[in-house]
Amino acid sequence: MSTTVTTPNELEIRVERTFDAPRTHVYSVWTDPKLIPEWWGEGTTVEEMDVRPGGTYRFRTAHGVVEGEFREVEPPARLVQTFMNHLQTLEFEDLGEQTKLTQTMRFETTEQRDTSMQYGVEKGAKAGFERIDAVLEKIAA
Amino acid sequence: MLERLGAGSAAISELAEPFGMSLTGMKKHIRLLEEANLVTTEKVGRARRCTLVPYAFEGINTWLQRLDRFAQVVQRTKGAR
Repeated sequence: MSTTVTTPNELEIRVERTFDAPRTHVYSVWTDPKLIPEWWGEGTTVEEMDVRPGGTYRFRTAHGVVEGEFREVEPPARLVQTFMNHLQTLEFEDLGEQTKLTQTMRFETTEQRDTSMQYGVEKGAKAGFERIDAVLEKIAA
Repeated sequence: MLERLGAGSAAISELAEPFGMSLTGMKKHIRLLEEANLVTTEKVGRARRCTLVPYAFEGINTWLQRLDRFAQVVQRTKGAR
């Protein structure tokens, strides 16, 4: 299934992807704490997953703790949640035997948005180190 | 130093030692990294501990890989519910 990534305005990244399963199934997998370790990576433990407006989630992963708060919960169509430094809106569209997920990530600044957009996988780590180099150069200056 | 922090939080003195840096010098480094939002620090007893900000370096490609794994879980559990 193909995925499209766009930047609809100055603050957002939008990811669209169609899954080959009915909407209720896709939504239930997304919110199932027992299945989260399977897609968040080995060693992930779910410490909290309270899928209600105002409820919070917290996963301990190999790369650190991920946490946020659910702002809007409308099963099986829509979730709005904070995720680290940005706000995510997840819309699950019913296409019968398929489901289209539209995920909109809204950042506070264009700079933060662009940083997330630019970082690749290995490139991400490298860009991170370059940022650190830039910071350390400031000390020398 | 970041490799060390990748393995878990550390006291500033523990970070300074292997590089033969003074505590004051390392504190200055840490403060700049903190301003850049790459690390956080907190006071634990008399020492200040430093932690890498989780996912500070996560980009969109990492997220797309995670979505691929999510799609696999959707497929695997399809029929089972």
